[in-house]
Amino acid sequence: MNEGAYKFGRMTRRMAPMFIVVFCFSLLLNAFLDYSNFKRNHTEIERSRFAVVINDLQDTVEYALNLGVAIQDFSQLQQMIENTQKRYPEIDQISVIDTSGNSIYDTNKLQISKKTGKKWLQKALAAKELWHDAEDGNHVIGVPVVNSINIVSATLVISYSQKNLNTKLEAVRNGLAKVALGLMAFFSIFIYFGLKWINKRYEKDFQCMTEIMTEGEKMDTAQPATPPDTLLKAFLADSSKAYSSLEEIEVELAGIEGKSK
Amino acid sequence: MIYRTLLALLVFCWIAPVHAAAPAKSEAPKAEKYKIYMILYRGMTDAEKGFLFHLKNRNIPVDIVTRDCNKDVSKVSEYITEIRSMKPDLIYAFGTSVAAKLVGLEGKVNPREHITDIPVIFNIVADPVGAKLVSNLKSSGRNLTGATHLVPLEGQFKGFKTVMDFKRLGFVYTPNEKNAVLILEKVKELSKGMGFEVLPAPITPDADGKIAESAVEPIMKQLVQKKADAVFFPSDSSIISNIQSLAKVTMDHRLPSFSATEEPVRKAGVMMGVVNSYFNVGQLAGYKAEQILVKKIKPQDVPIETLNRSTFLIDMKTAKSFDIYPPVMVLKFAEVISQ
Amino acid sequence: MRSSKTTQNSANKIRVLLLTAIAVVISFFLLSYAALDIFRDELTPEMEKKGRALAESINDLVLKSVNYGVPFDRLRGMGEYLDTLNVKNPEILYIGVSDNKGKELYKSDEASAAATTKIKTTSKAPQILPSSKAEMIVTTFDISKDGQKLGTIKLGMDGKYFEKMVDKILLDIVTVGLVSLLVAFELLSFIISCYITSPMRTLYAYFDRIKNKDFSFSLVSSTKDEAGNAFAAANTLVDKINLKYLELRSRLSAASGDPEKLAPLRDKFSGIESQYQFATGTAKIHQPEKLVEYIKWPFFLLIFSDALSISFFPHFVNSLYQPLFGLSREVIMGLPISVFMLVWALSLPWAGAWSDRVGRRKAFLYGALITGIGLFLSGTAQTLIDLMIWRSLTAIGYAIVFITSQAYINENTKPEQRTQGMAVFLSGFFAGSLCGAAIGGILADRIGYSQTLFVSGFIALIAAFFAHKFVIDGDLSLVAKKTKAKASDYFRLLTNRHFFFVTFFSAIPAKIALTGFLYFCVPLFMKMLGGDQSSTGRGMMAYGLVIVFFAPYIASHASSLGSRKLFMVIGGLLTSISLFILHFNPNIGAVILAVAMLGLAHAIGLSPQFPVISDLCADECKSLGVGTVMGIFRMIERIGNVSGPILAAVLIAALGFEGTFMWLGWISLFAVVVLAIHLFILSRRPVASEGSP
Repeated sequence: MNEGAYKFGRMTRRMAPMFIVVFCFSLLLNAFLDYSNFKRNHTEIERSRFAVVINDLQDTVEYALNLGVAIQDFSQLQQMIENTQKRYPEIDQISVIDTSGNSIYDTNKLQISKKTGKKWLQKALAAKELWHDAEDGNHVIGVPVVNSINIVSATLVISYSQKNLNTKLEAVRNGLAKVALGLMAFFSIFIYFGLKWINKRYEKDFQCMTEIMTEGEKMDTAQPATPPDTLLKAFLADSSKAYSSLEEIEVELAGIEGKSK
Repeated sequence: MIYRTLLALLVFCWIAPVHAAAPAKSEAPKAEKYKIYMILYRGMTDAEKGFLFHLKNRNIPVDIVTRDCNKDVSKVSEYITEIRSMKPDLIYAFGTSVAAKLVGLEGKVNPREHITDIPVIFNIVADPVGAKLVSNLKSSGRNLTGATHLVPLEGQFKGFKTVMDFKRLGFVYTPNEKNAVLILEKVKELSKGMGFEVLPAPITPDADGKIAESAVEPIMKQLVQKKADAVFFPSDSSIISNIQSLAKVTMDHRLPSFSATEEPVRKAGVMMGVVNSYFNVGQLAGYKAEQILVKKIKPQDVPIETLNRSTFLIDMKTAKSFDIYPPVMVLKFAEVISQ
Repeated sequence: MRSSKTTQNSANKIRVLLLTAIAVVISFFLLSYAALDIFRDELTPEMEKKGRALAESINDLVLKSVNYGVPFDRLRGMGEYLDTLNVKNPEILYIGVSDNKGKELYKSDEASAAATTKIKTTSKAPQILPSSKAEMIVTTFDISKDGQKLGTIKLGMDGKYFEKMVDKILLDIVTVGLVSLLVAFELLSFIISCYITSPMRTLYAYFDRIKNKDFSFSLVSSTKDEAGNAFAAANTLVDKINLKYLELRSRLSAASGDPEKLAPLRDKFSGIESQYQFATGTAKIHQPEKLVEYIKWPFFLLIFSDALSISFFPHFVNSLYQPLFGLSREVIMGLPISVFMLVWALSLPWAGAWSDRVGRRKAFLYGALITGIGLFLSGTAQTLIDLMIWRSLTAIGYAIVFITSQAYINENTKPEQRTQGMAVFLSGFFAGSLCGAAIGGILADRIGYSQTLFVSGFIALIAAFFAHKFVIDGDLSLVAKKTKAKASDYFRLLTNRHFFFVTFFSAIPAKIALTGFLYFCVPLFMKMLGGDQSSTGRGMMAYGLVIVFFAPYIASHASSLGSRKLFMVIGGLLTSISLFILHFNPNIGAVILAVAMLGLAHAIGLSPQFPVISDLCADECKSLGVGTVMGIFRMIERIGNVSGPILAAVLIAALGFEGTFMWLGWISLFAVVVLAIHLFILSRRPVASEGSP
């Protein structure tokens, strides 16, 4: 048994990477599904939380409108939105914007009486119900404020930080990554050794053949190795025959040459 | 040298148009300003304020001419003459009597006496159909539309029922007011479906139009005898003018009361009412004006409507005295008067 | 010995598959459990916060009422109020308000009795009751006025929320798992072909040469694995013989000695020389065995890459909608698909000729590259015109790959194995198609349409890579020259009644159903019913699944002409039934059923089409050649592919979806009835050639 002539397990080493890659891809896809599921859910829960806040504000403002107070005259609203912001520190800004896009009341005092330059303005003014968007690293939600003849008087907008979400996402990413990597490492090894075990037979076949052919190099017809494969046997026999016919001539030649000397 | 000249020319070209435009701006008035002729009945009320507020909010350019009847409807004829020469784009009329004088009752329109060719919007008309201004609220069939301020009766009573249940309701009114009589009939209709019985309680004011407490006493005694659970004061001007005495006696007899108008609740301690604020109704009238002026819809195609959302007025002190507490959802949106 | 090797082969294949399945299933389970824990940890605080916000809202209203003078224990309508909150926030199971002694005064009416009993009086800290069946996350909030505690609000949120979260994506996870297994299976077959079957066969072919006394070839033994080693060993052995021969030859020619003895020896030597072939100079290379299976994996990958967009393509078109040429919106939405089909159909003949010239490897490589670039650029499209241009580019690449793969299979299978070869082609096609549809839907839901198209492009490039490395060209000179079909050929075939009816009443309707119904209507209709991309992808997967599953069974039964005709009719009937079912039951379940039925209809009805034609048009096949007839058949059939989306679009614009299904059902039914009449009633035997009695 000439161990040095071949490297055992080469075949597995070529097969395994491809399988491991496919496995890892599908595991990563799975992890990605979990991740995006989490993102979706977290965003929804957070949004519904701020929806509660904005709906309460909306109710209060619409109540005032119902009483006949013009929104421009509802000065307590400024204090109200400031209080709300204090209550919920993740809120970056609350604005009450009129139909031409100017902030009537705003937690960002510099913005008051100025036109909002945000990209969601059109969406806000056209909305009939709660809408959401994102900008500048913040989530934004808004509701229209409707007066008693169902005309939009203004729109309420809360923008809250994505920091909360992002921190969570990072934690989830890390968590999932750790598990995924662990699983990948474990199962890569599992697959590798599994493949090795399964391929053993193939490798053995070839190995066997190689051994036998190497043996057969001796062209020793007297001691035929016992190959399990009839074709291999035939090969060896054919080769042997050819070799021996040549050898015969060689011997004869040697004899002739020797005699003439 | 040439370069500097060119630069100067460039700058001049840039500045000149701006200057040219500036004076032009102040001279020519905006082409699109709509002329509105407003006829008031008793001065500027919240209704007019709401009307103008809506137009301002929607950036509709208007030129307003105001005339105040000061409770004298006959002045409307003068205004009609003025209108014919001014030819405004729209006329605003406060109240049933002004509107009737301006455009005439349905079927009794005289083009010489009434305005038939300019759109008219009435405001604060309790019952346009009952007043015979129109026969169908969906369309007047003529140059007329407007906003009514009375909350539909069904809405009112539904609201009352959420606060307290009642099986027998006293209906206090003056038989001379056609308005009130009509409403009584409507409430009788309504009561069948809503599970209560109407106990009509007519009361006649004296020669001066006053109703003394002594006149109210027997009425209330009767209602108590008939086991009334509560009392309703409809939109009846005599009732409203005498609400103080009416409300006091009602209260003395431990009967909770409801009102179709806001004054009784605000000023006389009536327990509750489902009302529309004049300001909001004015806004609705303003919206109708927008449809006619800006959207160019014909008045006969603009339906006569009231508000979708009304105000729930509650006198909490009165309610507490009866140990009646409105549900939290009502309290969330109601206007609470006193504690 | 060979048969035992093949059974061994399959046994090992199954083992490898089991191995992969175990890895996939266990790892998916573990990952899902881990995800569940992570979700719980990270989302619970968020849910608490939400509870807090709700509690504040309730608190505000309660205090408002109390400030109006309502006693705390006389609040009315609290049940209804708390109910509305319950309804608006489905993750809340219970809301209750109790007085400052802990006695419950108000609660949301819908709360189940069971839920209420599980609430224990808690402090401000949220609590997750561990390991109980109905877990609830409880938040409490005190109601205070002027520093005095009036009562407490208690909110109970669904602890099972997280399990439900994972459940929602369970279907997707399972889909990914199944697709991974399918992909692993394809890959496995490919690897075994490359590294095991091919070397084995090569070696045996070499042994054959030796048997035929040809020692002049040598094996390529550069691979450093067991096969390479075996090859090297064989080479060494044969080298020895060749060396001996060369040595002997030079010795003999230089030999000096008794001529009388030498001459016969030399003769003997010549005798051997004439019998055997030995290697003189550089040995010739014994080519490794080319296997049909080599093409399957790259082809599968490419079809997979394009199929990623099947479930959402009409929606993508919709998002780029702009009015064009005054056509209705629906027609414009169908246009890109039709354009794709048209360009694909028109490119095929040209692509075939080019592929013949440059060789399969290069052709596949370039085709895959073009497809990849086309897909990638489709993702960048900003307008409809952009999209159609890039889609056409993709179609060209697609056509090249398509025809190259078909040709490769034809060239590498003996005629009697052609059907098996075709099966290889088709199964690769449908497997790729269904895997792509499923995964595409899942991806599109999360990363968007354009990004999914970028992924498609990337995968197409991987296909190109595999083709480049593994597909081997045969001898280009051996490729049979194909004669181009002339117009007269077309005319001749079309005037053959059988050809006409089979083509226009079986083949074309089937393709219309495929592109019009499956590719165009189904994604749009699913969206209308409220399905997301993932479910659309899964629905469309049903088509491929059914075909892959049933086609082999059908093939074995469709052997006689009679049964083939019957199968075509059954196929048509099933198509119309599936459309009618959908017309009467417009819901998601029915869509999947209809798609599956269409798969069955096609599995049964499509493969007999050409055999029936070659049977019934024997004359034409003889004179024009089977290849030409098939080419013409396929070409005309593509009218169905191209017109399907447009036809469907027009119908939808006029009748809406349900009307469209009914009409398509009637069209199918009409076609199959006409077909049946023709096949079974009007013509009892094939059209006889002229002059026969």
